[in-house]
Amino acid sequence: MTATSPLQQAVRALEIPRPRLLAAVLTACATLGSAFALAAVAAYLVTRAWTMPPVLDLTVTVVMVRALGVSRGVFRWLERMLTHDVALRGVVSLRTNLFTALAARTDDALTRLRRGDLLARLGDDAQELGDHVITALVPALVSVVMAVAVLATFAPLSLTAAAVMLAALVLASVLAPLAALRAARISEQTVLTTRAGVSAQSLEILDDATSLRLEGRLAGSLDALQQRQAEHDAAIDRAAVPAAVASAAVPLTMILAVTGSLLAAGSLWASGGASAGQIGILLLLPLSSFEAASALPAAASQHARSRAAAERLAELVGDQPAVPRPSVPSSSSSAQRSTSHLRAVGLTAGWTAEAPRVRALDLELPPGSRLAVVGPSGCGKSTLLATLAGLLDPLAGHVELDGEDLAGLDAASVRAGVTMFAEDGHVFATTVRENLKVVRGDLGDEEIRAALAAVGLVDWVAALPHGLDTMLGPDGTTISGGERRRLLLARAVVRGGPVLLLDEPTEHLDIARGDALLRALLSPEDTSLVPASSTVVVVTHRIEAIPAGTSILRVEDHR
Amino acid sequence: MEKSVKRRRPPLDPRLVREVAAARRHVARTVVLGLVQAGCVIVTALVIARLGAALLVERQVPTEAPGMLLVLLAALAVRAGAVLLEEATAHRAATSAISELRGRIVGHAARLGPRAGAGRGADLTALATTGLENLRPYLVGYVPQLLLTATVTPLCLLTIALLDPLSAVIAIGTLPLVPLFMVLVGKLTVGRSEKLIADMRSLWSQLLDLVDGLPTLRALGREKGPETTVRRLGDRHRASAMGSLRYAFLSSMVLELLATLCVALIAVSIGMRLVYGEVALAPALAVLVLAPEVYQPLRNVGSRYHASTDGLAAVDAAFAVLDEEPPADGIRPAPDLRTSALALRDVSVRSRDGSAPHRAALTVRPGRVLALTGPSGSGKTTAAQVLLGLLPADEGRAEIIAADGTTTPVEELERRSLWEQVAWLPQRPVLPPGTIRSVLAGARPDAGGAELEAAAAATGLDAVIAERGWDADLGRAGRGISLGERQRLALARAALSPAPLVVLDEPTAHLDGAAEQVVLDLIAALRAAGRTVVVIAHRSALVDLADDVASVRTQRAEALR
Repeated sequence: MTATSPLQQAVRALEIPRPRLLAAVLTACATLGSAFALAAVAAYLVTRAWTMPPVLDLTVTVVMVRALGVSRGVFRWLERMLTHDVALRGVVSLRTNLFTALAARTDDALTRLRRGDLLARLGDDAQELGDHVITALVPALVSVVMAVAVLATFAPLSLTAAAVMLAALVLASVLAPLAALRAARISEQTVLTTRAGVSAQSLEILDDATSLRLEGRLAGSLDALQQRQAEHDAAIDRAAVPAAVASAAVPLTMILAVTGSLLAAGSLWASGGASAGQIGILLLLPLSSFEAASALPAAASQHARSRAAAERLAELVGDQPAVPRPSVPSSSSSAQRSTSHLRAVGLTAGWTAEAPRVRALDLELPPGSRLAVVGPSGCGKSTLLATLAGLLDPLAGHVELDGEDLAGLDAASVRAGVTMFAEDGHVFATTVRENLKVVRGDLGDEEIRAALAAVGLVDWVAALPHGLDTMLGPDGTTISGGERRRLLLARAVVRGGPVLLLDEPTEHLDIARGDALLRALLSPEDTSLVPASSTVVVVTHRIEAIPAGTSILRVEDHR
Repeated sequence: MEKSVKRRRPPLDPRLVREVAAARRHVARTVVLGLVQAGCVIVTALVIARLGAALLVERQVPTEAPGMLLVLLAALAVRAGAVLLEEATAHRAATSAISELRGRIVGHAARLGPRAGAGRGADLTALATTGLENLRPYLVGYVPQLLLTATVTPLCLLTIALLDPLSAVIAIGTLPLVPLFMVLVGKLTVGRSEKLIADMRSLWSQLLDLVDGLPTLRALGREKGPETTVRRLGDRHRASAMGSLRYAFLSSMVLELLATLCVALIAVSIGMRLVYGEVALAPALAVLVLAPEVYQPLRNVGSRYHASTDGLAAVDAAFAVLDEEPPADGIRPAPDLRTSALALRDVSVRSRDGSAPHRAALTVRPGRVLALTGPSGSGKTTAAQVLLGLLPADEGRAEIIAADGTTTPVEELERRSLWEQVAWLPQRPVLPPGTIRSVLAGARPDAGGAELEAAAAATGLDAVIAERGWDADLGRAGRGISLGERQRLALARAALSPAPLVVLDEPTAHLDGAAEQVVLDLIAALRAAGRTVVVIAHRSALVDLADDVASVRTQRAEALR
């Protein structure tokens, strides 16, 4: 595989279907082509009419002029629709691909990202790549097609004029975008450096106005703002020159094109090598030949912005694991098992190799066993659970499920065998029912009600305005910490399965209720929450509530 | 430009032209450069037509008329130069306008007092940092094109009218259709963009919910399903967006249609008349060149519509701040605070919900320590700000009672003369740039080394100095040292300053027990030195130390009693 730039990767992730892109480019060409053809045919019509031919000879030309007068507007609308449709489809694919890539990330990058950053990446940056299609990709392709069309029009009339047009087009299509790119680069750097200084100083004054006024320092601070602003302005001024050159490039190259074509027309007419209509085209058409090229400076600045956005997106997605997990289910098909044997051998776990939280742990959990994990906060209990669940790769040693190394199993088989319920499990902004069905799509209402009853949420659901159909989360009913815990526990109850790993399932509950649930989880004879044959590992602070005879793992002994 | 179709406000805000010099010059220069460009366009058309006609009719090749050729070259070159100059100066003008407005907004907001910040906090910050930047595309991209519609369009029309009146009639006949169709399209799209924004917001919250839930889904082995939800949400948004774009793009279609149709109609009309010899070739060619130029600026304005709405919104927001009158400064000199008392008489300041404080009444007597207490958000800091004339009271008043019993409202005082007698220590102290020594000495320029050291020792700053030295650079706004260290330096400044009134806003908020004792000792020392102290306090240790205690509450708390 060849190395590709982040922008190329991002454009690939847009998954733009070729036919749609082609259709967008073709209608855009038809739009610009209509105007170009109108200018050519109109010039031909007027100069041909001057020779006073029979009116019938002009009929075709007149019809063409009228048709072209209407077609541009219609093509324009089609082109806008098709281009935006392609771009929006691309953005949807890009977001879906970003989401999939985020889902596949095995490290904790997701938790470290601030919500605001995530919003900006999935929102603004993805949108920037949509704009890339509209403002950079399509116009660039169109300008190539139109350049060919321009040259193909001039070449049969006069090779000299065609050569001059080629030179002018190259100038306009290369010089102007390069200047625009330079301007975009300079202003990009400016945003990073001097603008931050201006913003910081403005914020400081706005935040601390009271002190500044009392101490008579406001004027001085405003002077400092002016000074920062002046530095910023000087940086912007540097970008203004190439930007101006970019926008003046087309009028500049017009000088070459117009005079070159005019002189070519002169010698052609003098030698009698062309009709009056053809001379008309040579005289007037150069003025209308640069519409496609004049979109290129904007395309170049968009390119600079898209590249920056693509780089940020690449950072978000990160390096995908070099060796993908096997995707074929394991031979033992543990998915069907109702019991499993979990073993840890010399297990060292941690988020980074520099800071292992648990060292050289051996653990034997035959089917139906119960284990309480205790230890001071921050000692690595959750890390251990995540590693046992196969969500985090061990730093050393390995975890075995029914004798097979987790690292060798595909994700589906691992999850079918071992499921972890984190203490910060997410309650989705959807109904109570969907929040439990997230565990299993085919869950029936009876099972849901039974699970809610087992964790003591029956009264709560009964009090909700729409029962199981009540919306939870940001825009719906908000739930208390204790209710949330029990809802997460109800997920574990409906999950069942061979091995359940629960992180602080009874935190934020009142002590009596929490302890009762903890005892039910840890006593093999109590099947109100989990079947006796399931293996249950519970992280808890409530050492007092652990039933006598339960195995206890003190994590601080394994540091 | 008045022919623009936008509702409510003009596309070029008159306040911007009237009050911002850079914008005014930009508009003037753009008009002149627009006239130059219009002239170049017309000369180019006339010369090409003349040369073309001479060639076809008289078989005179262009090189035989070097004068005309030179004029053509010059017109094309001047046009390119005008575009270059316009673009370059437009950037400069935008830069100056943004810079000027930012300076004025920040200065004005600071003088408006704390409430300007509190009332529209995030908005003001966003305006001063990123919002004003929207003026750039507006001034660089939109305004010049808008002004070209006022120069190039009418001048080209006039020239066409002189060359061939019938063509001018066709052009003038199609032009009024532009605003007409725009209004119709506007009626079609009304309400659609609001729906689009609502859709967008719902898409976002659902998408973020899924992203937030990703670790949970992964633990359940269900992370493979939701991407279809992401795609479905996206597709729904796309469908809704395309639905409203379908109508929005009609406006660009109308513009393009009318522009090209006008050119086509003119071409056919002069073509037919040429056949019968009713017009000469030269004016016919010139009209053909000029016809598209009539519509070009209008089309450019249409394509930059967003730059105009964003830019005008920034202008509106900026003048909303600038149009607010800051409280006027008084003219009477403040009496000596060593012997005068300050008082609040039933002062209320409106806040978002009700008043905070509500009917605050207190008296600060010289040489005593007053603790100002109340729950969070009850308006303790606001009350202190009213007391010092930083903020006008909405009801009641702040007054100063001199030793001889004369009572003066604080708002009639020349603030500088009052503030010179006050040392203020905010919750999050901000320090001027400099070294520890220069910043501390700034509190009292005539202080000797021994006095500096005494102030440092009294506030625990000596420990910071022992570690970093007197000449440690504080960086910008004291950010080079920690908040706790900054607090101690600010305390030392208050201790050293000769100001008779010291106002401390929650001075122990960021301090541990030992450091808190330092503050308590310092307040005792200030009182012993005969200075007046107002301390805004949560902690009881500060309240216990005070001679007088005043409490404030909000209107809502008052209502609940």
